[in-house]
Amino acid sequence: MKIYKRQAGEARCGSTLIEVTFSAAILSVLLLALFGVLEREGQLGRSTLAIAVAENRAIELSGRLRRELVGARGKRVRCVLTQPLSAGESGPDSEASVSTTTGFPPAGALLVDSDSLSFERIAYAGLDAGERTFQELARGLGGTAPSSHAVSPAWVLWAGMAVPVEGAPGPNDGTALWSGREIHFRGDGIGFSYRVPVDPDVSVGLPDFLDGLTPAWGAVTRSGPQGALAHNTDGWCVIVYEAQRELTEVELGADLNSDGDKTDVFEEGRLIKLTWDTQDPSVPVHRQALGPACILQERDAPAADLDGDGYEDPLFLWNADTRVLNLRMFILARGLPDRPTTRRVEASIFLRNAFEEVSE
Amino acid sequence: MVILMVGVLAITSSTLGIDALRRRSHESANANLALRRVAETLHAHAALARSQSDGDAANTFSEAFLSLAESDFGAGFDVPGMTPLPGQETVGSVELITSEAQTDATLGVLMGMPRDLNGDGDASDLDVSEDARLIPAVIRLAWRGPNGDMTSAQPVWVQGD
Repeated sequence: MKIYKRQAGEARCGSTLIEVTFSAAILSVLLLALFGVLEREGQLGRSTLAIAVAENRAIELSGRLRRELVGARGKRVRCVLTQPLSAGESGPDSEASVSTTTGFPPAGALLVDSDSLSFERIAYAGLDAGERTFQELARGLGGTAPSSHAVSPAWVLWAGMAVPVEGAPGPNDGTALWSGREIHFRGDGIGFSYRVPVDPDVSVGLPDFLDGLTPAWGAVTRSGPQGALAHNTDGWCVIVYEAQRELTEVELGADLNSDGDKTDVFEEGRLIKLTWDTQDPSVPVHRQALGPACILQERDAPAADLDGDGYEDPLFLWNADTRVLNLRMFILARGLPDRPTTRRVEASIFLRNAFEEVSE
Repeated sequence: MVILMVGVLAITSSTLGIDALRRRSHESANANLALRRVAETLHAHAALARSQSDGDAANTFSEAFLSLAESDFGAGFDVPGMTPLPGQETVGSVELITSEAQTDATLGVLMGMPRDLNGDGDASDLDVSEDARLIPAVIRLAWRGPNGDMTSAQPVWVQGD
């Protein structure tokens, strides 16, 4: 074995163990940093795409609603009590007699005496074929108490719809901000009731949506043979929000509605279209999803403020007088695990046909 | 190491590019929704004006419509999430056209102008604000975004009785 000895003035070759160790440590740190950057880049890319996808979904949905509703005819879904309703009227055999149930979905919630202290939210699970009775009542929902209600001119409203309130707002009304204006409204704003032109003689000749000189109004329901879809002049439609899954600010680690806390609970859901036969309860209700489950609503607080601007945000707000249906959707995009993002998509749809003024 | 750095820079560049495209897509979608929203409101105003018009020369469709539209959009309108251009107070504006002599070239949109708007058989009237049966309007947006100054315009026709 030959031992090399460096001579004086000769340049040093090779590296010491300390130098090698130091270089390896620097290289390791750099590699780890590079992998970290790459991982973060990937997350940012996914976040970017997720937000874009969520926005596109909302815009597609608003376009679909526009096509569905632009030729539709809305209705003020309201009626009055025709018999007093006692506080104990509840359960499977209970019912509430009203002037009409036309336009009310087969199951839903009512707002009774909504501009007074005896305001009550009542759920129902059925309608009668004569369109005069809500059946299978559940009383005192949504923080209200069961109370008796007398026959009066006060409107009984479908809770799902939000309609502007003229004059001073009542104790149970909300205030929304649309195009810079405050609009007082009543209702949850999670749905809209309407009819569309139908062709009852669809099997005969070319499509004909006229009944004489006026459109034939109705819906496509499961009233055909073996429950097949068929145009039906007794049909009715609603579009309504349906919750699919629960989200909590605690789990997401974010203040989604900018109210200063991270304790709120939300639901992510979708819009569904329901059609049914108003005269024949035996016809099954037809359900059709109108888009993906990406719409955000606060749980048990429909029309709650979702962007922290101090105003309520109903999903639907319909003004029968101007025939404009305002739509405001909040979409949740989750690309970065630590930073969920909400996007607001607004649309207005002018319903070309006047609303129905009958059956109230 | 150099190869790795080049790779990271390339990925960063791609991510920034995707983000810029997303912002552009977001702005474009936001602008389209705003244009449609105003167009639908103009159609609603037209329906209201048709119902208010009584056929009298002093209360025509065009007067009622122009009054409603001016009160709503005369001072322009804002679009949430969009910043006006320097020197402008609002992002959006609505140009209500009451001269048959306007052309597509002067308006900057393709909408078939000049055209007979009051049904008198010619397309040369310079002011049809009192008797128009067909009113064109141009909705314009101009905003400053991360990708520069942007503009968008949409023509709308509203019809009287």
